[in-house]
Amino acid sequence: MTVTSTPDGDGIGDPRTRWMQWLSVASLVYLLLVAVSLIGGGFKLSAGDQAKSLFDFASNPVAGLVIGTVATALIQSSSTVTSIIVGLVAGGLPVTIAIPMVMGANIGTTITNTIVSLGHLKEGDEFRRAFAAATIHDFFNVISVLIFLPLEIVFGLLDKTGVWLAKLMLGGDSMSMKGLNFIKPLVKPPVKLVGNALEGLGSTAGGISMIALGIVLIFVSITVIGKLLKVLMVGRAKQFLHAAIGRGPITGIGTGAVVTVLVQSSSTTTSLIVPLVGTGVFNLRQIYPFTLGANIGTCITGLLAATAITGDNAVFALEIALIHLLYNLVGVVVIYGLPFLRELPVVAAEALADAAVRNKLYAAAYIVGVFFLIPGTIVLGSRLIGV
Amino acid sequence: MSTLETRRQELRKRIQNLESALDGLKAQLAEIQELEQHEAADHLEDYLDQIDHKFRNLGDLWTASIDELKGLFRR
Repeated sequence: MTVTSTPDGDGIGDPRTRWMQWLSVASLVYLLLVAVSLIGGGFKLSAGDQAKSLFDFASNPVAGLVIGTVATALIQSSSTVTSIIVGLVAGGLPVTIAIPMVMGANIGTTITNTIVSLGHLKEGDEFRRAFAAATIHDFFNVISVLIFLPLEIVFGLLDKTGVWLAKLMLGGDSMSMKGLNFIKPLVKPPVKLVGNALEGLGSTAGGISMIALGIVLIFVSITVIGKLLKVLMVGRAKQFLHAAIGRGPITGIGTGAVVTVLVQSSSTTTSLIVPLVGTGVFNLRQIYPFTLGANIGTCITGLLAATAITGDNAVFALEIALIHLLYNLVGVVVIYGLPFLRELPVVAAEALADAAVRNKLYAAAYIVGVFFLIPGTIVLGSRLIGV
Repeated sequence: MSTLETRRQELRKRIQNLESALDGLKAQLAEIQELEQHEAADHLEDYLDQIDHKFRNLGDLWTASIDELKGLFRR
């Protein structure tokens, strides 16, 4: 699909084309919801009540974290991975295993803006600023995992709060959202249709085909939605950015979140600010809150995906989507709220950027090490020692 | 009033004047920076293209890393 913007960047010029683009976005969102539902349905069809045992390989929280990190780094979209995780939870993946996975998705998504910052590789100071602007997001997310994953393993705080919130929203009382959910009836017919079409393959092969189709459709729909919204919403994103200039960090966080919701991609939001810092117009501390807002804004896709889930596991799907939001909100409050923690990502990003300017091997070692080598070694090591 | 007291008051006044002048300059600088930031925000769509050059960027890093490695072994 070709997407073009007007010279002033205010989205699509021709109103007819604009309507078509918005219609495409709406259709793709619907496709995304169907796709998430297909994954859940596929697991139910192929594994039934045994679905939980299929995820035993990821029962180690560190393995879950690594899976989330590497999958997101490879696909370069945390929205895609969290939507797939929501679908997997609907299919029987225990929420306790899914929590480290969404934490890993937060880390994995930061590879995109790091690669974007490499566009400034040949300009010494510009590269130092751009690389620091990209990796501040990485360090924030790594610190967040270092704080909250051990707490989650020991106390299960996110899990318990997620259960409480999901029950509050889906509970049987009159304040619940259950009766207001119009998405489920809209999604059910095509899922049933695909299920019937694949019935001939048998329950196992049919279920696996549904899962595979769901994953492919999530990837395609989120990629195309991202491409469309990037151009359709750039004008609006500009307005929000203008409004945030000269304001405090809370406005920065809010703007980062809103822009991410508009473009449906935290990678796009955090990548857009890399050149802004690279040129020296914005500094690292000014864009720091903006990147944190991107973490919060990206949760909207998972929440949207959760609305499509039907059946007994709907509450768990909503739970993991709410946990993702809660984790990112609490992470910002704790790490950005406490001055000594707030400074850590800044110091680490600046130190790494200084080293990367001196020797590009540091940048290469960082990307390969953080996103692939260290996660791979952890998984291999834990397999070898049988943890 | 002793000479020292007069000198101290003079210095305090000069410091106050310098500080207010400095504040004024800082405010002017902030204003210019904000104008630059608004100008940069106006060109946000120009940066959209940079997101699509990821493979080229990785290629550049690969080339730069190989050069650094060669330099390392030459020493």
